[in-house]
Amino acid sequence: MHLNSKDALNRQASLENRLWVYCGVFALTVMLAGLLLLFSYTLPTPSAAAQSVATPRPGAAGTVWAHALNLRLATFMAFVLAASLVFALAIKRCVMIPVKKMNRQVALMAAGNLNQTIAPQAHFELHELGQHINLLITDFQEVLLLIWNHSEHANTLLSQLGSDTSGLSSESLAHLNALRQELHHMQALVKTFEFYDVHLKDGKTQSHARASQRRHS
Amino acid sequence: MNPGKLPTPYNQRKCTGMSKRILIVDDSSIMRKMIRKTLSDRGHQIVGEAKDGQEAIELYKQLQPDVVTMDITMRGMDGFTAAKQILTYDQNAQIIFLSNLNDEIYSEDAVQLGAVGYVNKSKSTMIIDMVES
Repeated sequence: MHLNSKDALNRQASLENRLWVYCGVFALTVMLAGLLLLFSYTLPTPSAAAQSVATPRPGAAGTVWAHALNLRLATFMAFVLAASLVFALAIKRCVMIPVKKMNRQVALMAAGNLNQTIAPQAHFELHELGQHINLLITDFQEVLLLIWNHSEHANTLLSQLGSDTSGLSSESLAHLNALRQELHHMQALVKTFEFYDVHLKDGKTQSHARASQRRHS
Repeated sequence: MNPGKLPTPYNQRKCTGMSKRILIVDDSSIMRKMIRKTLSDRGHQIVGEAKDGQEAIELYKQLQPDVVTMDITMRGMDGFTAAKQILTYDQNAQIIFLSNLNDEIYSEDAVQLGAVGYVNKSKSTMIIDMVES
């Protein structure tokens, strides 16, 4: 039952919807520019009309029309370019930048920094992805700390046994030493990670936050 | 207990007390699943699960469970802060801390706060005794 997170998700904008809106605006701009261009062919340009009245030479109107057509095509292209630029900037702002940011954080996590958390995102698809990565990292930390605690418990039992090994055969002693080595390797592996709010000190798992709360109280 | 006779595993013992309504608070889904299985196998009812302290407080007020199992290290509000607020709201709240943090260091803090007890996650089946006591 996670009412808060669901509510938060409902309040967030959908990246898919936002992209559809951007695509729609882009298509409408291009269509509008195209329609304006087509519509402009049906009207005589003021300069052409003026020139045809002042100097009614055959062929002059055709040249003017060619200039006007170039100007209209250039305007149309400028419209399309501007719309493409705005569209590309919008995609960069709502997809590329957050994905790059998330990618940097995930790379840090992959390098063993489990203290990293992906911040809430504006669009719920990316927000959900970030939250699922956070959950994965949380579970991974829990599993590693469980391994640490179990191996620490096993170490304690072995050290208790270590003081009284007189009755054990040399083979059993070798097995015990091998077991100690295995536990040592396992703990060395766990120690290579940076944990969220937890540090391993003298074989004990301690909380940074709790230590600071104690200092302040 | 007879010498040499091993104690019955927790999952094979019969539930002696009444079924309790339990709220699980843990940011790890694997741990929530594990605690849920451990307690529901004993006939207890899991009435809710919370991922952080803030959600735990809201669910406690809404669900009024008999027992709360509370993790300490959580992204968002931590377990000690949440337990303090729950105990301010309801002095009779039964809170059991269940954490990976060292029990020698933190069990005293838990008891001072007014919690029922502290269990290390590596010995999580011990929570059954605490819930049923």
